[in-house]
Amino acid sequence: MTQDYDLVIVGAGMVAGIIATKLADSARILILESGEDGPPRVELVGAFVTASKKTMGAPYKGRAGDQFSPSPDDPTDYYDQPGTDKFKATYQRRYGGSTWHWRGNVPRLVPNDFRVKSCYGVGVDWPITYDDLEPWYGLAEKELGVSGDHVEWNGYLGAWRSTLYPMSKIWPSYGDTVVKPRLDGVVIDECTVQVMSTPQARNSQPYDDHPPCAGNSTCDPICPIGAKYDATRHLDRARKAGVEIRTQSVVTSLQVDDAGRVAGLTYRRWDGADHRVSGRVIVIAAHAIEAAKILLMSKTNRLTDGVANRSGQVGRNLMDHLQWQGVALLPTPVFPFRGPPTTSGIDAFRDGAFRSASAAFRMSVGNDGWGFVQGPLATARVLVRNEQLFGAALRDKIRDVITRQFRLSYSTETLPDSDNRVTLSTQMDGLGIPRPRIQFRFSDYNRRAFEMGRNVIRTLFEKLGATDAIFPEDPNQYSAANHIMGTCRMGLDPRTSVVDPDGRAHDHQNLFVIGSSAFPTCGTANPSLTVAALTLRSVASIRRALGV
Amino acid sequence: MNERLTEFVDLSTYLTGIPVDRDLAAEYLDRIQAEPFGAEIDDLIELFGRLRQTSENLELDVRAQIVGSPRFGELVAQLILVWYVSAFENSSLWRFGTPEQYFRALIWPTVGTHPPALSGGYFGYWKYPPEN
Repeated sequence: MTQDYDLVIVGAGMVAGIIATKLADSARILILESGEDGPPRVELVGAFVTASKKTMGAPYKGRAGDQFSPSPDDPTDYYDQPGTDKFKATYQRRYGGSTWHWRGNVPRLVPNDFRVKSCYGVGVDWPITYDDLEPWYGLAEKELGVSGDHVEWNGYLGAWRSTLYPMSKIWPSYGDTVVKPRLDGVVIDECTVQVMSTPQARNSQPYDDHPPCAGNSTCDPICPIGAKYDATRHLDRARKAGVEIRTQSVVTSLQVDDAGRVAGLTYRRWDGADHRVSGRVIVIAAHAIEAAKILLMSKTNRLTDGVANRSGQVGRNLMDHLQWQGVALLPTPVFPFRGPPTTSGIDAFRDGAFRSASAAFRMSVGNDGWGFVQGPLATARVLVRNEQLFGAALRDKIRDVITRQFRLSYSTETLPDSDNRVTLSTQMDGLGIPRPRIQFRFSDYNRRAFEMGRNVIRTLFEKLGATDAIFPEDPNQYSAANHIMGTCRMGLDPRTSVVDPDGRAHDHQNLFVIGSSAFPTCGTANPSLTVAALTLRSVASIRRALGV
Repeated sequence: MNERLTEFVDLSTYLTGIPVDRDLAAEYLDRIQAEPFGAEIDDLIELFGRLRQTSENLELDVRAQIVGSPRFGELVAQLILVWYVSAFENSSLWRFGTPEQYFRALIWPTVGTHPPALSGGYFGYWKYPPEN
């Protein structure tokens, strides 16, 4: 088997798909993916609907990947986490990556997200600004196929837009139309609430040979019809263009020559056999935790802290958006579970002077009943078992309660903390590869944001005449957004960062690390659109490195 | 067997408050009979049939002798849940049957929606309340 390529990309997700489609006609490309390709989508949907627990990994579990390329689905099934505070974000290792199970929300970061240190004295500044990235945001929206409202979003919190969205917005849910008139204009902590449509990588019309959204409501963890963007769109195109994609191939180390160039990669197949491959340029696009693992596993006598880690920052500054929900019953039905789980949000608290002391947060307006606080099946269980209802009384109560269920969520920014980090565990997976060991701490910066978020929700529930509100008994209880960021952050100084603004490793000229791992801070935007923008921006640099 | 299935359909319709499908009832009767709590299903069907004929207040008698009874309480809860949810439940863990049964769970039309992953709808339908 020929093993020398121009470009080797590790991880078959959105980053690999975008790069490969842009460079397929200029370079001989190999993508190495640890997970599998398949089974067909309809089979994954069947696995989901019959899964005992409807988790993000439910469609994809119970297969050989659980052993040979495990994906976390709860805080301890793959992560080694001895600490009290758990890092709860999950991801998916397979052809297409985590875009299989993401929700598809794609807001942009706002300008001040790139300069929280300068503006608010917290975190660090990015080495690029919103203005630098803005053109790439527009291209990314076209690349993924984003449905949004340009007029609504242009200039909001300073995030000006130079291009229209490729598709008009995903229509608001019926519930959004009920609550919006009562919430718009409410001022809380000097922020003015406005219920706004959420930009989504979900077709509102046929786009890129995929159908418009039909409101199947299972966006996360799986879109049954492919109306939600997932990276198989790009990867399938890349394959047709001649890119080789080798699945069930887990990269275990990079080899660096005396000149500091990455000379090759070793990967392990699911049958346990090791193989070596080389590329003139290497891109690590394996999502933030696996990217850090690969670099750390590559340590040698000379590179005692691993590859690309002269700064000591690889694996550090691990971030996610920590969140929770407030739920209540509205006075009139809003008929959730029809359409995407959320179609609107409240973005008023994503920026402000309060960020010097307390995290910014994005709020989503739920179209999924009581979200994860109590799903509809659990509500049925309560009525049957606890209230012992039956017959017409049960039928009517199920209808009355569930049709009025409503939730608001807050999803908070975390600041980079060098002690929040990924290292290598002594526990191994089914291929004898170290699991990720994670240290994580829930900070006071988030604690204060949680309190602010809950107060906002209480106020908004009051405006809506909501009753039976439920807030967590433990006010610091948090869930994950599955927005894993940090671990290989970008910067201008090689002493404090891993990659430059193009994603090129400071220490190795032919190595790029591209993805949310490069985020120095995380703002409150779902990261994928920013990842796509950074990826598109990096293509020119990769092309120069390849000399094509 | 047909008569027994008919009686099970009648029992299920009464306990769920919704006319149930006979073919689906046959599938659920099989599933219930395979469970430890399903050992009492024949006695339950027989009791309900008798109460329907003789009771002066069926709802009260069903509550006292069936729903609230130690003997039949668990079976009834599981029976109702399998119709509404297509799954049996134990300590908040669900055991589903087939995808087709999930799609036909009664909870979805009861709350005015479609089965998850099977909307059969058009873009934007969610902006409007359900027609029924």
